[in-house]
Amino acid sequence: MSEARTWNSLRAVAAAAVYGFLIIPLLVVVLFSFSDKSFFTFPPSGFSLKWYQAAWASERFLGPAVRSVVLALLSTLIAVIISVPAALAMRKMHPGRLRAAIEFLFLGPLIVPALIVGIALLYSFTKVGLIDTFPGLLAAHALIVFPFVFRAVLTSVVNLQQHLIDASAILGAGPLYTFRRIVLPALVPGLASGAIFAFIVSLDQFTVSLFVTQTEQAVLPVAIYKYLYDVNDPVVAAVSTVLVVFGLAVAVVIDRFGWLRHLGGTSG
Amino acid sequence: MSLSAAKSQPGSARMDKIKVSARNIVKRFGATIAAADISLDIRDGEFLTLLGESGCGKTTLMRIIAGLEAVDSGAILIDGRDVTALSPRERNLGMVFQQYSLFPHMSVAENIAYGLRVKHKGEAEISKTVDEMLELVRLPDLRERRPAQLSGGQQQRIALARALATRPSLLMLDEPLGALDLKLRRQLQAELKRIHRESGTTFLFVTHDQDEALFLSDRVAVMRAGQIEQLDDPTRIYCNPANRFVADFVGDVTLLDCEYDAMRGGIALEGGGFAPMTLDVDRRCITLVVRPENVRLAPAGGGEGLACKVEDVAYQAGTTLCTVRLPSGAVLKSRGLGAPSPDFVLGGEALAHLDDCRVAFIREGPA
Ligand SMILES: Nc1ncnc2c1ncn2[C@@H]1O[C@H](COP(=O)(O)OP(=O)(O)OP(=O)(O)O)[C@@H](O)[C@H]1O
Ligand SMILES: [Mg+2]
Repeated sequence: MSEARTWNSLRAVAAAAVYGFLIIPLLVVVLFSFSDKSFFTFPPSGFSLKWYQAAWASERFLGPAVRSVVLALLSTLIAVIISVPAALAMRKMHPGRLRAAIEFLFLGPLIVPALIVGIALLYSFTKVGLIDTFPGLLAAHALIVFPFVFRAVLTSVVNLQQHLIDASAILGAGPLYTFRRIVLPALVPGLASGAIFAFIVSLDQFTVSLFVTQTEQAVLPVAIYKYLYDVNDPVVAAVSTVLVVFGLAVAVVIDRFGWLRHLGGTSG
Repeated sequence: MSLSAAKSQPGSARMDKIKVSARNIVKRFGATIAAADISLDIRDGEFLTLLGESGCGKTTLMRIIAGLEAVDSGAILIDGRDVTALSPRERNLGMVFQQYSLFPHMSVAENIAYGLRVKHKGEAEISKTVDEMLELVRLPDLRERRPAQLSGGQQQRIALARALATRPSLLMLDEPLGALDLKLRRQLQAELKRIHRESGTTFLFVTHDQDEALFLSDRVAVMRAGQIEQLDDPTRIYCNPANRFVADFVGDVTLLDCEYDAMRGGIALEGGGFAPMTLDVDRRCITLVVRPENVRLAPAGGGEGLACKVEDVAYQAGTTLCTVRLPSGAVLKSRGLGAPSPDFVLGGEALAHLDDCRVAFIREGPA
């Protein structure tokens, strides 16, 4: 066997191992959710949808699921509304230490561990009575997802071409018209990828949500955790399977529009 | 826009009007002086070109006229009105950039319509103007294309159409052909000339290609380091440069420092040699501007002429360029029609004649 072929086979094996490592746990959960026994067996026995029905009927998941989705949408929206002007302002700044410092600050929530953020929010929210309220939860999530949107938008903003903006102005357009017709369309790829990413991050956020809520405002990951704490049956597996399918659908959309490359983000 | 607008003719009534006037413009970027007290009057309907090497301030002057750059001092007047404090959108100008600056997410038609939509023109009028403009740049079939689906030359023509659609008082073109290959450049230069004529718009053009400047323009402003060295029609820029810099910058040239001897009726060169010519100058010390077409070579050994040595013979598509050296060390170039003559061989002797009628002067040095 030639050396190149050896390498190729090794690479294939490595890739398969990584995929297996990522997918097998998911597969186990999915199979478990269709099991007809209430405890885990391997190989899985039987086929039933009763855990899905139980999950729906239990009323412990539907409310938190809706809350999670609304929360993810709203916090993403807030992050978008703050990110666009912030990134545009950064563009006008001279590159230098101040700019780097502000950029670093904006990316802070990404760097600080969620545990620390959670504790900090717990302290400060308790003082102002925001614990276990939807506005408090929303503020916490907006904070967490902001860096993801900001980074993606900043990439698009850095690539904005000044001569297009100049051309628009010379053709008689005011700043608002130029923003709407020239700047915003140029930011769409960054905004879209950042927003999708932010949406997923919010949906998935466990630690911070746990700190700033008690019983009233449980979100889906927390609800799952609390359910598991009480009973360990395939209901949780069923809920998780729904989440996996949802996540896959989102991933396909991202990939389809080629927005993925904007997620990396550089501030140039 | 009336496409049969008055043809731009120097001295015509229209051209006597000043369209845009820059008065004592000063602009600094830190230590760099991009405009050092520039004053410039652009006549109605003319094709004026700013010519100068990279970094001399051409783009800056244009951006100042457009309102994209603020001045340190000075004023811009459009149709006699002071617009210095107005933003770009209030000046009604057009601009074509060196980079292709079409809006990438809009079709060709939408690009051309952009300035009209900003001004809330009616759909019927917009559609009609877009057709007219596409006709003007001779690309009527590209209406629905996206900029990414156009060649560079097509993109620049659409950019031109977009800029002209709003009927600007002045169309500014900042090296619009800079990114194109030579053949396309030549083609688009001719197009530009035609579009200028047919649209009747005043053009302010920027280039650092002197051939392009001389070919296209009614007048050329030669710039250096934030100043205008000479503003004249192309013939005078070429034949009567105002100073050494302009002479050197425009065209292939030898600057011959010599003394004019009115008694003998000719010039005496440093290092020997005498060339008969009649000049209408009073100075004795002059600098002759000698271009390749002013130098005629004759075989050595027969009669008058400047003795010289042939250093190079190059055949260039239809003409031959001979380089000769005078005893003083000065190098002259001579352009003749047709293939190289067997009389002139590398290292051989020859006689150079200066065709005085085409020689221009710079009045420098002690009288
Ligand atoms: N925004 C700016 N900040 C700092 N310096 C600038 C700026 N714009 C221009 N300059 C400087 O001003 C001078 C003139 O620049 P300008 O762009 O007008 O030159 P140009 O004649 O258009 O050159 P080119 O032929 O290369 O386009 C240059 O030295 C340039 O470095
Ligand atoms: Mg320039």
